[in-house]
Amino acid sequence: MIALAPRNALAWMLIAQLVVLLPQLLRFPWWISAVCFFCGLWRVLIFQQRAAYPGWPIKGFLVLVSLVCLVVQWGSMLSLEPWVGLLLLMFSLKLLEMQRSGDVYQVILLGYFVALTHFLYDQSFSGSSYTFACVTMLTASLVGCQQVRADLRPWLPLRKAISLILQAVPLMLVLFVLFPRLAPLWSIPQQHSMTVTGISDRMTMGSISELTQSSELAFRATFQASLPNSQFLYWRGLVLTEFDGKTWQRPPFQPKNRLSRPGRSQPDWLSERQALSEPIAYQIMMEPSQQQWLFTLPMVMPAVSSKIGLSRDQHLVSFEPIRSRFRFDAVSVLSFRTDTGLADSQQERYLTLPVDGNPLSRRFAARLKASRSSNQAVAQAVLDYFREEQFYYTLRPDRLEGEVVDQFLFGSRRGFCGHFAGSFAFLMRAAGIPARVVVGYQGGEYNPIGNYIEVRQFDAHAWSEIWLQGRGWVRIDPTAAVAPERIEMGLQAAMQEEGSFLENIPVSWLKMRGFAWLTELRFQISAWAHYWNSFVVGYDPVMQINLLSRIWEDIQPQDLAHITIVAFIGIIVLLAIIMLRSTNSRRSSQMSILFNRFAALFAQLGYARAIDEAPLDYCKRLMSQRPELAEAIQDFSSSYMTRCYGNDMSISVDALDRKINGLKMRLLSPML
Amino acid sequence: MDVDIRQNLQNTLDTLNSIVLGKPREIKLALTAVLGGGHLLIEDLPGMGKTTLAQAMSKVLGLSHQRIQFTSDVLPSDVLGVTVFSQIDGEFSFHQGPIFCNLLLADEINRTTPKSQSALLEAMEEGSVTTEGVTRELPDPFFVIATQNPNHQTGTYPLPESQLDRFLLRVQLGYPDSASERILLESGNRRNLIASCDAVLDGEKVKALQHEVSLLRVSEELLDYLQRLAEFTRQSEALRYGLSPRGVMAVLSAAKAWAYIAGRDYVIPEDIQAIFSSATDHRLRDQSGKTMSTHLSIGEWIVTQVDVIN
Repeated sequence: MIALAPRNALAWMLIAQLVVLLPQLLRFPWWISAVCFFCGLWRVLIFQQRAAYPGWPIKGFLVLVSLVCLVVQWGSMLSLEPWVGLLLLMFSLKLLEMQRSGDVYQVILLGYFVALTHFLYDQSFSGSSYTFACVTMLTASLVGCQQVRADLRPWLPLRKAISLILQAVPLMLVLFVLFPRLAPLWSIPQQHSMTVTGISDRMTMGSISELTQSSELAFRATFQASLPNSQFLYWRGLVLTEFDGKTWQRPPFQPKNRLSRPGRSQPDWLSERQALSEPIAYQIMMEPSQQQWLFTLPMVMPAVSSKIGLSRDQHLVSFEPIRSRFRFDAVSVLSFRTDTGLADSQQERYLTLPVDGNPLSRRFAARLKASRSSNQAVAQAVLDYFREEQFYYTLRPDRLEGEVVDQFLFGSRRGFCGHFAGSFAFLMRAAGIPARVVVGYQGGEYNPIGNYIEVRQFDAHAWSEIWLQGRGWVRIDPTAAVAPERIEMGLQAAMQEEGSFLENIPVSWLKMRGFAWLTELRFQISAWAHYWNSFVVGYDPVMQINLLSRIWEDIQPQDLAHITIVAFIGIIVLLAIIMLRSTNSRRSSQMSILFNRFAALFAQLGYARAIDEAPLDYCKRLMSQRPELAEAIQDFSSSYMTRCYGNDMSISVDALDRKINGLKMRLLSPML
Repeated sequence: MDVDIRQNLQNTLDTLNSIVLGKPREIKLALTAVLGGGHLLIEDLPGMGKTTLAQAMSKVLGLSHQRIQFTSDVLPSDVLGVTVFSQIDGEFSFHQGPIFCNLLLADEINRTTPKSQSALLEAMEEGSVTTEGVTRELPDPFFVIATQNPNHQTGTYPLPESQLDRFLLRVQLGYPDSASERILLESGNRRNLIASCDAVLDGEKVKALQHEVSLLRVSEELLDYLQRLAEFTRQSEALRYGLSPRGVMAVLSAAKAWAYIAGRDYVIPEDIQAIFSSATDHRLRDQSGKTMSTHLSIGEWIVTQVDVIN
């Protein structure tokens, strides 16, 4: 290495290696970082000639230990992480045997692979930009290896690399737009690090509180027409019907409640839905949650996509867990009736409670039922109870044990949406009114720049639905009775006094709404990320064909290969021409262009200028060969010589131009 | 441009042409070297009129001139001067050598040893002479007109490239045409004519002319062309090495002087082409024999290879 590649190439290489490894080191266990830094340090000591290259026993030992550590860390080699870890380790260990120039190239080329693994973890705009910078740095170190010892300019490799990368950008764009899209490569490997996020399918009193402390993005919704009012923004995710005294859960599957799938025969329950207003269309871009449920506004129409079904409980379900960012179109009707004729057997399911437990609540429900005339009045009475008694909406509820509903309703009276929705549904069932709990998100922040609603994990919410004769399922949000500002203005406004909004995150953009410009900036960044996710990361085969069919009508996927090849060759030829022009011929001056026009005129008549024929000599020859034009040629040549070589600016370029045009006229019409 | 001084220039040319017959181009080149402020090397076989041209020039230019006939035993002190002990004054005094003049005629420069050659050539470059720790300025203007026999002749010490580079132009006289030769045969020795003719210029006038030449206008296009020529000599595989920056500057000074003699106050590509071969042939080496096959000198061949208009 030292003998073959210049020393500042090594510097560039170590920097590039550090830059490439850094994001991965932050994601991986600490001991991998330790190995990388150990190897880097050793390599620097070799560079300073204070250490020698390790012998094969040491190298063998290091490799063996690394492999053992990998297996111990992840248990098996069957997931993605250990393999990426292996790549990182080998990339670092290779430093210790980098003796010949061939080894240097190996390390650098391995570096490109490591850079590629960034995309397995981060496909955001900033992450992609970083990877792009990594590739530039690696290219710079490749350039550095080619430097001549006599001409070591430290910044030259970077400049060269940037110009190389810039030349590659058009090719990259062509490949990106045109190259036939295969199945998504990144979602194939199972990743350990991907944990389930978002709403879970069971609600114990208090489980949503962890979500309310997370500012992670859940999804973005873009509406085609105007936005619905914020009180309609109930993003339904799951319906929980089974209560065991503590936890609400999903219903067990029943064949007659099967999903409505596109392209299959429609289940019976679908016909019991009634739309009472115009449908609104929107698109949801959902972040990976590793779960199957999707979030839509009620009442959602059956989806068109073959990957999505509509459940009996009126929410959309994906057939695969959402492992990567998922985009789907949905249509909802905000005013509706469902299940107006709910069968008795079904009603029974929504009335089921544990045999005993929470006696105070049951008694309270029975009392209300006896004193009120209608089911609706009973529901209203419970809401009034929530509103009038000392109930508090808080993100720091007391810990409840045992008879949780009783304790909450008649003891602590402090809780958040889950407590209110859960106990409300309990009271309803106890009073003989079919009721269920719905979990999802409520509200979201409108981004005026990207024109979408951004829903974060802290917007997670739970509410209830009760079934009323003649009206079907009706949404009742008991939280709205206790803390109406939670529904109208969001969690942050509701928690203003308590100060518990994102209290575990000391510094967050979202807490700084007081600064208008910060909010503006946050919207900008969010909108940009959304565009990136929609059009770059989300550029799938469908989008590709849609885009290209705007240019070529009825394009077929198999045409893509041909177009790609043609465009690719076209760009390479274009770049080659630009490069040849810039190196071989200097830019012609205005005067040269003028004289070449003049010479071209006579070249047509067979009096081409020899390349070594200077202007005056050439004009003299023309004058002797075309005596009838001698005067005009003389006129041009003397003006041209005075302007061009005598720097006489009183002769304008236009004047010379006119003289050439005059000659042209005379040559074209020999009669004159 | 001063009409008097123009007239003087024309008279100079006329006088020289009347002495050296049938060589108007070579005489113009010789004068170009003087006006361009450089030294002139005249190279040809013995008896072609080298010395006649050199002597005629020194006479017509009206400059104080000296002549050194170089032989293999000429020592540097024979050129530069020597310090001798004067018995009358009782102290050492410097006796100036022949180099202390306006115009030095260095005949057959390649017949002397490298030691004496370099004594002269260093003085040519510096314009001063340093002996025994004392630097003495040479008169201004100072020119050397050197003659040399072709290197393949016996008894020659070829000048190294570094020293050839000091000459602005190299002129080859060649055989006279038959008409000129007839006149030569009829009228007898030209040396008598030199003795009888008058000086047209003098030191001040030469300096004034040189100043005028340096003021000539040079356009961007012309410099582009010159740089293309230089670039070609450096890129071409036919040449062993390219033109040095000093060589390029020499071409430009010579072209300016040539343009001045032609009566123009700006330089055109034809000027460069006219002097290019004389200014570069002695600075470049052909390594492929490409120019040989074209019967052109290296400089002439280069001119045919480079586009005048870009």
